[in-house]
Amino acid sequence: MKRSLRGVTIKVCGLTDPDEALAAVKAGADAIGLVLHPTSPRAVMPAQARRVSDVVHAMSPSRVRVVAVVVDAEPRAARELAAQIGADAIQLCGDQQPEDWVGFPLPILRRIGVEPSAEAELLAWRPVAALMVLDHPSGPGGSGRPVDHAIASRLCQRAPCLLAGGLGPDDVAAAIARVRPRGVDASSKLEAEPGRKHLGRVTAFIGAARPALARAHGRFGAFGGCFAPETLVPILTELDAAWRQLREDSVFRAELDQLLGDFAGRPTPLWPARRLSEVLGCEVLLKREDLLHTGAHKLNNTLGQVLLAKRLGKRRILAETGAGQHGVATATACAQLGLECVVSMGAVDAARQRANVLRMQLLGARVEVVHAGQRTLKDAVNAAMRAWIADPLGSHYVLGSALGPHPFPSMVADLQQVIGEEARAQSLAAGGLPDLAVACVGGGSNAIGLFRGFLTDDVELVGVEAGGTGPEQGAEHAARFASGAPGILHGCHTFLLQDDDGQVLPTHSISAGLDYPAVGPEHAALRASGRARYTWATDEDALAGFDLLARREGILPALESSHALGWMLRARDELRGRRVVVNLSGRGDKDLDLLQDRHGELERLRERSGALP
Amino acid sequence: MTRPSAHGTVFLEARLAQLRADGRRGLAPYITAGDGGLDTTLAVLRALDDAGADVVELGLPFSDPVADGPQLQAAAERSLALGTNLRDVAEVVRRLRSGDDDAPPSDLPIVVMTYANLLSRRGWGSAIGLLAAAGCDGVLVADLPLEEAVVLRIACAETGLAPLFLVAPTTGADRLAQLAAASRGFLYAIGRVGTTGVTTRFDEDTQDYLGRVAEAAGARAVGVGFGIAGPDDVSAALRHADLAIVGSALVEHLHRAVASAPHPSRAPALAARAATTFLEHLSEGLNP
Ligand SMILES: Cc1ncc(COP(=O)(O)O)c(C=O)c1O
Repeated sequence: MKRSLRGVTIKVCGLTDPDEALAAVKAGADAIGLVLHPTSPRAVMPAQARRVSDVVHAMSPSRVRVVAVVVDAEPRAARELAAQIGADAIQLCGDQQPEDWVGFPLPILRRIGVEPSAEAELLAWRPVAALMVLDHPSGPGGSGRPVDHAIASRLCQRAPCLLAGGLGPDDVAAAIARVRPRGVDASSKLEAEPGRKHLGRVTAFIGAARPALARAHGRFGAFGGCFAPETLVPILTELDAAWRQLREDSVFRAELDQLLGDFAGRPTPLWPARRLSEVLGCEVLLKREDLLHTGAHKLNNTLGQVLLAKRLGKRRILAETGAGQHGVATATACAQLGLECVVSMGAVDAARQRANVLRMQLLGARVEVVHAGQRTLKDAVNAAMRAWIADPLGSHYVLGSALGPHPFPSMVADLQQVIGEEARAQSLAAGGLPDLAVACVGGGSNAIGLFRGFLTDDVELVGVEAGGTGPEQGAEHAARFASGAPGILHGCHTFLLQDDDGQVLPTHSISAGLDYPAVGPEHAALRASGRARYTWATDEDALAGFDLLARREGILPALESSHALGWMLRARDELRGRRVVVNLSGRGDKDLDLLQDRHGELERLRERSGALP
Repeated sequence: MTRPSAHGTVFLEARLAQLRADGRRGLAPYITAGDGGLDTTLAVLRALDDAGADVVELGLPFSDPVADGPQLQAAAERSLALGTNLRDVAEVVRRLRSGDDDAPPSDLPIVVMTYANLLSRRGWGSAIGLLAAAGCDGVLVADLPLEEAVVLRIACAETGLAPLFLVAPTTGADRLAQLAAASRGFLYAIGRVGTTGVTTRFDEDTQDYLGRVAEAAGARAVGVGFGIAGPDDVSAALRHADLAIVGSALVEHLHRAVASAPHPSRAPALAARAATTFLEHLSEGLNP
């Protein structure tokens, strides 16, 4: 099968050794280039290339692409060579003509020398080449000399391009910010000696390039982006610039830290839940975001964004809410910082989270109940976006999860990262890193906040989506990874529950906060790279998880957070003997009405799950 | 890809150049495809052509149209309830182009307006190819800014379909120049900060902004849309622009006609008549 180059953003070129190739893949490379041009200092013989390609495919059967780099090869020779070494794509660097390559069986990368006349060549290759590699115009490529950034930036507007030309760990981030390419390609600056990669440099290069690419486009691998109506685009650009600046600003940071500490109650504890651990047969550490002021992690985000909005001179704050926790947290930040607050909430959610509607109103916010569509979180986001489009200059939209158009997914994750940073330090102080970190995933903000603390550790990351009445296609749920497909909603490209035409499907979850058809784009990328895995818990699993925590630990968790516990109950065998940090993202007071209706079920579920009372 | 018809960028731009050469300004009605059924859509397109529409914006409805106000959201919901999809829209345009027992072939310029997910779901190349092959002239994607439009522009370049871009009052001068250079057919100026369907006041600030857009567009035609409802709005909108785009007001008017049909089979004829009278009414704004 022809495997596309769509997700390829970081290519490491000129590998000659299987172990080095594996290390590059492990460090996060999306593509490995094998140079088959005999006079290159990085040339490999076909037999050795085959060995490299085989180990790469064995380790990463679906994600990583092996690219055969040739100079003057003709289509037939190139096809044979690619087959011989098991390449997924071919990179052409010589005097080939695009017409000759129409219908070539593998995706093509085309080297383009960056010079004023390059646009014509790029346009000629565009119908046949899936990716352009922008390199210095001297020689057939790999000269290691930097390219003209102004020209390269224009070329990147005309076709998907990888920026090359002597990029290394120190300059890749700045080059990405200026040129905004789809991705990058590096070789010589990552070497210890010609043909041998320096693994520290490869890791540092990928570590610098990934976040820079994410920041340049709000792209996380193939996901993310900024799919917003034009009216908002200049506003989002300004927001992005403001956030980049303020996140490094010590005065802003100090003000936010004081709010998070003395107002909101950070750090939140990491509780060794001994009685729960006994039942589950593993060691459970609960990250107590339920103890944060207003009862959920949402305040970490709203304090940061409302403070930012104030700096930008906005007078009014808009927000959407599902469970009402984000609405309450926004109303709270607005009351504290003195801004007007309008919260959109679907009519179904306003009914099932009545107490939170009143809380928002008591905090001085106006609650706009939305009667369109399915009347849940998705429709509240639509309404809040429209309100923002109507007043983009005077208002700031405080998006409540790691979702939406760039810069929201990055910014919200930056603000929630404190959860993971604390949890990491606390777990180390309590005896060592966990084996797993688990969180429920609605839009994904509490989960990404936790995961970011452990991304570079040997800690398994597990996200739990809402399985509703069952995660199968056609059943009622919000398990995007179980039966969704990549799509574009509310400003970003991510996993989405949609029909064959691309219309967004209705969702269901017992918890309003997880009842949403799309998932944050960083999670889509973490899943694609295999760094995190995603599973689901049904409504009943969540009720069982709720019941367990209430009776064994004296904590009433939010139904959202109960999904993480419900999954653990179901996955007890797998977890036995392991150390697990669970994000207890919120407390359950808001869910009392709903639990009153389903109280009778709890005992039955307790018996079924076999958990001790 | 070979094209079955002469439609696309070249055709659309030639038509708009002719409009200018004749010293005229024009009307570009927007309708939601499939609202009232596809036969209604076809009948309305034919009526708009007969009544002198210069371009039609044909909306392919999406479940979550964030750039649209309540009227066009409601129209999208009605159309989706009948199952309208991309293939249906292509098929309506194909029928319009080929003609049948009821009407001769029509070369009314058509720009499809939609949201990114409906094209990305099918695959950009395949979706654009389908619209081009059916005889559409252009495509405009409400939630696809220039920076995300690389693949769309490639697909358009390969099929000859015109990619149109929007500018807004919030768009700065540099960006305006980029969008004017990238847009084919015409440049779509959003008349007001906000979603569709709310009245635009053509005050001095708005006219200044539209003047800047016209200047940036140069030889490229400019269409102004969002909140244009009657002949006075049309005449104000056309002070600096070539085309006045009329959406929500027309869609509501057509919906009332469809809803008044004593039997569904009568809906296409009633909607067509309503389209004709509405366009005639708007045309008063062309000759103030
Ligand atoms: C307590 C709690 N946890 C989790 C969520 C889900 O959101 P996210 O995935 O962004 O953390 C919500 C949303 O309302 C919530 O209130």
